Amino acid sequence: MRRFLHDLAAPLSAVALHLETAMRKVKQDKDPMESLQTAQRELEKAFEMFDRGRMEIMGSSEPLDEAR
Amino acid sequence: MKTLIVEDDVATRKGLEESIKDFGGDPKAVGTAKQAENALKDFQPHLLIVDISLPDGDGLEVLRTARDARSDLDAVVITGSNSIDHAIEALRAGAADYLLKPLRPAQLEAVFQRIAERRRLELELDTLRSELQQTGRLGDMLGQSQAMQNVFDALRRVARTDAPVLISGPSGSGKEVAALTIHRLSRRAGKPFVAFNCGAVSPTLIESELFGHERGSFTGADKRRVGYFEEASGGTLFLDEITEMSAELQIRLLRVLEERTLRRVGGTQDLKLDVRLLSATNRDPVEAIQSGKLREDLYYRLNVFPLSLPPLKDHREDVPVLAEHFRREIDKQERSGVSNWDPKAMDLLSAYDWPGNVRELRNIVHRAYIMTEGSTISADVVRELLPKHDNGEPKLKAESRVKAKPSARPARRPTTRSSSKSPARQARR
Repeated sequence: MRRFLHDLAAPLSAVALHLETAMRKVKQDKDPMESLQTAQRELEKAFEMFDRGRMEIMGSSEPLDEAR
Repeated sequence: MKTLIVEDDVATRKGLEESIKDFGGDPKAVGTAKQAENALKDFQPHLLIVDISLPDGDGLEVLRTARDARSDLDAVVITGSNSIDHAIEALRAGAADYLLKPLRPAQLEAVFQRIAERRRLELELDTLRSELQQTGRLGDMLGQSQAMQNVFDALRRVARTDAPVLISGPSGSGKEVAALTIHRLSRRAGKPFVAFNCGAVSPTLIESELFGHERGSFTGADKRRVGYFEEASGGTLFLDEITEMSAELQIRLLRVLEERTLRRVGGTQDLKLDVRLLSATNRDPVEAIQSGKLREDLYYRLNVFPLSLPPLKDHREDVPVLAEHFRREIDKQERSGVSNWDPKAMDLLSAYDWPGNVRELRNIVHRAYIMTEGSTISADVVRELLPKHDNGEPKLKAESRVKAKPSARPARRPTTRSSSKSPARQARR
C-alpha cells in the first residue's frame, strides 16, 4: 500500500503542475495545449496505477488496517 | 534565481521546470544524481530542488555534497514519504524546506518565492554593507566619522529585528532617512514604507488619517478611507514628531500597539495589524515626558530601541563628503556642469556650525550650485550664503574665523533656513 501511494504521487504531481502551467498560459494568451496533453497523459497513468493497485489490494490477504 | 531541479520522473521534472520559469526563476532540470553533480559545477545554481529517490543514488547525498561545496546554496527536498524522519534528515542536511508528493503548485510557489525574497534581501544587505565599507554610506545615509559609524552599526543591528525604534535628533539630522534605511535593511523591505508627520496635520484629522474611517462616521466622510496603519500593512510606518500628537490619540496609539489590532473611526470590526512602527522626535524624549508632551507608557512602548542622531556640528568631518554627495545629486537634476569645489569653499562649510544640520547643508549646497558660474563652487559664493555676524563675517567656529578670509562683498541676502518638510508633507514610498 505504501509503495502504491508513493508511485501514485508522481503522476499526480505532474498533473497538478501541468494543469497549473496550462492555466497560467491561458491567462497569458499562450497556447496551453502541450501542458494539457501532458496532464492528460499523466492522469491516464495515474488511473492505470490506481486500477492495478486496487486489484492488488483486493486480491491480497493484507488486513485493511495494516494496508492503511 | 538559478534553480537546479533534480527529479527522475520526466513529466514532473518538466512541470517543475515550467513552474519555476513562471515564478520568475531560471531553471535547469536533470534526472539523475550523476547529472546533478555535473550541473552543480557548470550551472552554479542559487537553489537546488531535489527528489530524495533518484535512480542512481540518494537525493540527500546530492544535497550534502552540494552544501559542502557551497554553504550559501538554498535547497528544497521533495519526498514521496510523509515520514517525519525524512523531513528531519532533509533539514539536517541543510534543506530550507521540504515538499511532499503529490506536489501542490501553490506550496511550490510559496516556498520558491520565500527563498527568492530572502535572497533578494540578503543581496541588498550585502550591497549596502559593501557600500558602507567602500564609501562610508549606508543606504541614503552618509558619513565616515566615528559618530556616524556608531549610528550605522546600531541601524544594522536593529534593522534585523521587528523592535520599535524611537529616533531622536535635532531638526534636519536625517531622522526620516534613518527610518527609511532601517526599513530597507529589514525583512519588510519589499513592503510599503509609509511616513506620516504628526505635527503637520490638524489634531482633529490625525485619527482618521492614521486609523482610517468608515463611510458616514463623521460629517464629510462620504466614503470609507484606509488609514496609514493599514497602508503600511506588512511594512513599516514611520511617525515623525510623535510628541505633537494629542494625549487622547497617544492613548489610542498605545492601545493599537499593545493589542496589535485597530478599529477604523466609526467602524465596528477590529482589524489585525502587521506593521513595524518607527517613530521620531526632535525633542528630548525624557523632557517631553516631564512637560506632558509624551505619555510615559507610550514612550516605553516606542522606545524599545533608542537611536540618537548627532547634530552635524558633532561630526563636521563628514561635511565634505555630504556636500560633495549633494552637489552630485543636484548636478543630476540641474545639469549645469558645476563639477568641483574650491578647497577653501569646503573649509568654510566645515567651519560652520549647521544649526539646521544636514538639511541646511543640502540647501546651502543647492544655492551655491545655482549661484556658481563656471564649474567650481568658490569660497566667495559659499561665504555669501552662510549666515553672517553684524560685521558681515560668516558665523564660523571661533578657531576657524581667524583663517576665513573676510568677504570682499557685503552679504547679498541673509540665509533663511528652509525645510524640505512642508506642513502637509506625507511621504509614502
